[in-house]
Amino acid sequence: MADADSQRCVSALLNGITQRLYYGNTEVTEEFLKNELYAEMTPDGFRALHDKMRSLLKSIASADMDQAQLEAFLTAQTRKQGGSGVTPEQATALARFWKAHRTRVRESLLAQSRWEPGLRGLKWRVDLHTTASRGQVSNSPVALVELELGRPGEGESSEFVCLEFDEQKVNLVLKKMAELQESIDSVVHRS
Amino acid sequence: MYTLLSVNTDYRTSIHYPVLSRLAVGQTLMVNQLVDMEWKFGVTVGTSELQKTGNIFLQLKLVIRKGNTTENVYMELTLPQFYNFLHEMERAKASMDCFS
Repeated sequence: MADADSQRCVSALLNGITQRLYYGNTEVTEEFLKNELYAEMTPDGFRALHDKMRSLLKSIASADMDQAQLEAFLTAQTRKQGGSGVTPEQATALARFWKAHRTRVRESLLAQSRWEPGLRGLKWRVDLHTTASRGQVSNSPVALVELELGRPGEGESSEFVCLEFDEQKVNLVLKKMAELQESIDSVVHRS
Repeated sequence: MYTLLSVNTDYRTSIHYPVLSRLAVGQTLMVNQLVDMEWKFGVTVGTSELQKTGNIFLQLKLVIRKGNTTENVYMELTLPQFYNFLHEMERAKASMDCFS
């Protein structure tokens, strides 16, 4: 029972660390985790445990370990002497946790590697100009496109950019996109 | 300028009004006009946080005319975002073709 509780606490600790480190949930602080999970532990003791689990998680995530790699890694960790290794319960908790979170953590790391804003959304409308205040008359269609840009991170706010395209510009953009698509296809088909 | 039909409440609810840049009186009302688009595409092989990625990166730079100056807007798209952008531009073009 004690082992199961210990494993549950380690799992919860790993979850908390992942929330802050990879899922952008900054409310899950070290203090919060200690109070929720290890209230009886000394501050120094908890800090050591927290830092060890974070360090192990970062190593596992950085290498994007598969099952075999993780098993070898954790086996080596359990064999370490002194306090620097992990207990079997901690190793089991790490293995279970990584199996459940590997994909999402990797996606988060890939998203974090994109430093420019991404395209969160797009709206457009096409207007038909009829008259102008200076008396120009025109029947040319114009596209107004609103781009919603935002950096990775669910809490990040969006920036909106509104652009105007006449037909010539729409054709230009489509031509450039076709060139880009050709490049993508050549790489994707080669790999 | 746009006719009254264009500058109505539908316009304001569908497009974020504060973002539109309006020029001074005496010139035609316009939103930002696209001048040019540049792109860069490749594969990210590794990062400081993830040793091996093999992830496609796709960067777009839109050159926008704002009055007498131009401004660059940068974005980095995932493939799904790019294909969505392409799809919507094709739809807009199809809509424009009905009236040209």
